[in-house]
Amino acid sequence: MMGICRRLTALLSRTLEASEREAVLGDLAESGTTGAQALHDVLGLVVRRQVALWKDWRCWLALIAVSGPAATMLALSSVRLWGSYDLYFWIARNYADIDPSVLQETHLTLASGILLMARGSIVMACLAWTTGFVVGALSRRTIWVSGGLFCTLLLYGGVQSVPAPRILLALILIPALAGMYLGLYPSQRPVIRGLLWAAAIVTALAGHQTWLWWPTRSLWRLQMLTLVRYWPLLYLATTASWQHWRSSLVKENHL
Amino acid sequence: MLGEFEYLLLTAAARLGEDAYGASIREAIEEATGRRCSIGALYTTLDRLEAKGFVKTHMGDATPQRGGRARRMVRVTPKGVQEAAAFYKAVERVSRGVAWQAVKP
Repeated sequence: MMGICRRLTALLSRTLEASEREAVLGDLAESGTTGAQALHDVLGLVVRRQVALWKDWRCWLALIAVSGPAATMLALSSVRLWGSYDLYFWIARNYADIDPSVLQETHLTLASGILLMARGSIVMACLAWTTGFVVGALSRRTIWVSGGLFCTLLLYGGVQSVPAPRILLALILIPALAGMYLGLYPSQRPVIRGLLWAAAIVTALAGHQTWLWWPTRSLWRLQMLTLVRYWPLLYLATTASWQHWRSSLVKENHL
Repeated sequence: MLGEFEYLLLTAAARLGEDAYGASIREAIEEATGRRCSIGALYTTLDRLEAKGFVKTHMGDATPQRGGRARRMVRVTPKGVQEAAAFYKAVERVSRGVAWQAVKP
């Protein structure tokens, strides 16, 4: 029991900032507080810290406007994309038995298939990476809620009549997690920033992809989901303008 | 105006002086009030006081009895002293003429 409490205390304390974790665990050790009491103390602090964090509107924005809709859209798009992949995989498997003229007439050649799969995979990865970045950047220390919802919806949100294979979901999940990490720990390296901008632009222009889940005849509420692909570009443009405005203000004050 | 717990924390930190840090402040409050002081309340109040400029904190040295972990040292600022004094005077003023032992609920 003591061992479980100690492990849970250590696990919970990880959600605290490093310096606070150091001070709190040190205080508990010094006062000889162990087991359930130590767990209760740390839990109390973690709850208070989380409640304070959720007073920030950005956490709610990340949870409601980005995590949920983006993960749902990605999951639904992955199901559609898998439909295209499946068709070309079938053609590749039965290539010897199909009349080449039929493939030419229907534009279902292997070359067009490879092109579509490559393009689809790149756009999907960009969409996952950049939305993951926005989730991470807005959520900060509430990432375990927003990120958890994002990953859960991504894994189970697309399960309809034809669920996307786990391998395709993993291909989306990995860039999404990498994006979240970048959002939490921003990189100032020009190459990374450039790639992020490029991915955000690709994501915003992704509406022409046939596989992308695009509910033109659905309810307006569902159509709103597609706005998610503009979020990364909007976020990058807004933060860049904000930083430019702040630096120009500092320069003016120095003069 | 300070809250009751904020005043307790400031007073304990001022009394402890150079030895004011999380565990020692907590012990001082528990001794004075006879009630348990939660770590959550202590650290969130400490942050609030620091944001208001009433205390300054920094990470101190690690000691073996703390499992090699550092202490969060607390120092009351002149602004904090002023605020605590104002709170004490207000309590003193409002208490004038009241003998609690004589008051029946």
